[in-house]
Amino acid sequence: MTAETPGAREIATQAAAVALRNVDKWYGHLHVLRNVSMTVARGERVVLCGPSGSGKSTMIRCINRLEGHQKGEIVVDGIELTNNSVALDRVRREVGMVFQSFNLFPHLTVLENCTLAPIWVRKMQKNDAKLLAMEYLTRVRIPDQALKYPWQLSGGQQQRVAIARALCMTPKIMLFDEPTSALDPEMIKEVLDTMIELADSGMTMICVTHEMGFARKVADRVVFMDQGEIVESGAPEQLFAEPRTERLRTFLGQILGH
Amino acid sequence: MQLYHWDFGFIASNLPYLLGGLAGTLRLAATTVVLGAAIGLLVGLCRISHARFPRWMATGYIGLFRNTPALVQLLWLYYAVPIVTGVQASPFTAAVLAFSLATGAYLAEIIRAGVSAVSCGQWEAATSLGLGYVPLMVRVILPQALRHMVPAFTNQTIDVIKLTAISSMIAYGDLVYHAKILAEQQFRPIEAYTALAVLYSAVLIPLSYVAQLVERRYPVAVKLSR
Repeated sequence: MTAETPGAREIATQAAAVALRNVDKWYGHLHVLRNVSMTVARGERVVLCGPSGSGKSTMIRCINRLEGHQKGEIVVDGIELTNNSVALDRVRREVGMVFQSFNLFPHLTVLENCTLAPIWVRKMQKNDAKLLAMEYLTRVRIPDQALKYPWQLSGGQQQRVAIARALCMTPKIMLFDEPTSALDPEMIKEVLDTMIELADSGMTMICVTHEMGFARKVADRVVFMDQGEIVESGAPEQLFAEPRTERLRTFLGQILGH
Repeated sequence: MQLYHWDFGFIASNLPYLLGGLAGTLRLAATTVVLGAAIGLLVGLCRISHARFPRWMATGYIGLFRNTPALVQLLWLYYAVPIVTGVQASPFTAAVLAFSLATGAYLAEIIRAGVSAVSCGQWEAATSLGLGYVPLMVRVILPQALRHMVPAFTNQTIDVIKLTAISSMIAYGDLVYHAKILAEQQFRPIEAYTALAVLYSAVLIPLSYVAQLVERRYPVAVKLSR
């Protein structure tokens, strides 16, 4: 991926990376996504924010089909998400995800964590996979930890390994589900810096986060959700400075207050 | 009350005979554990399958073998096998069949519990990377699940050795059978059966200790981070 200067980005005019059209989802009787429609263009960086239970995590988990939706369509990289497992496999190869609780494989070393999918999904040769993994581990600044086990690393290091692991599949879209929420404060910066660098390289990113500073720096668009609906959506400066709805005003008051 | 005159003398002179019985017990137990593990893995994977047919078959199988007494399973198979196959099964064959099928049912549940104990974040991470079902199970889930299964598995192995005792009912030459023959020959049941208990303990107590060492070597509570 080529480096691009911040601010000189262009949003590709090709087909959208991710498109949600009138998506509804229920957990039993609980209506968690209400008629959600959203389009993310290639190279666009979107931050999803909102109070707990707003459906933001559920929405991104629907994008790589960790959760299914009952109504509406979700199209990722031109492929519609249905129960067709062949299509789902193709989608998952192009969409990387980073989780709040890292979810590294504890019985494998850092290097093995990163090479597992390239070897078994992309059918890469073991040595090629190792070289690829070392390249990404260097990019997230922890090449020296390659032979350690996840439990030997700090939380910030583990999350950076998780990012490298997802990147080793060379996805077109990266999803982040509150990547820094489980980290001690002093480790949040190293992970956010990694994500900023990734954003600068042109990766399409959809990020659920409470880190509004990150949103201001990196996001092309901030989407505010509440109770399963998209309430407001716009450029970060505009959304934070001039919230149009009471709900967003309340939310900003709560998180920016301290 | 008359004082009973204990006499263990005949035990020493018949020790080879008793040890022959012990060898029979261990042979039966080892075969049962190996076959039972294979059956248990297969049935366990069916039990957690997303497909309804394998799951229902596995659940039915497990239910059948866990809810009938082992002795009943043994006797039924011993008398049913000749009817189904036309060939009289040897006591060893019937015992291996009955005990492996039963052990397989118990191990299937142990495997299901072990797999369930692996945190769902692991499934989510592996699925998000695009891993198919087979590499996901073989490379991510089962290696972690095995750790959770170790205590239950070692317990089950010890139980199998005790379970084999009922094979004496169909005249298989295990330790109990040999002790029974000896007791009847010598008219000294209490000494014979005391020796029997001692011999079982002599095998199982060290085995339990080994099981503890294995459990300590593969502990479940692994540190998550610094």
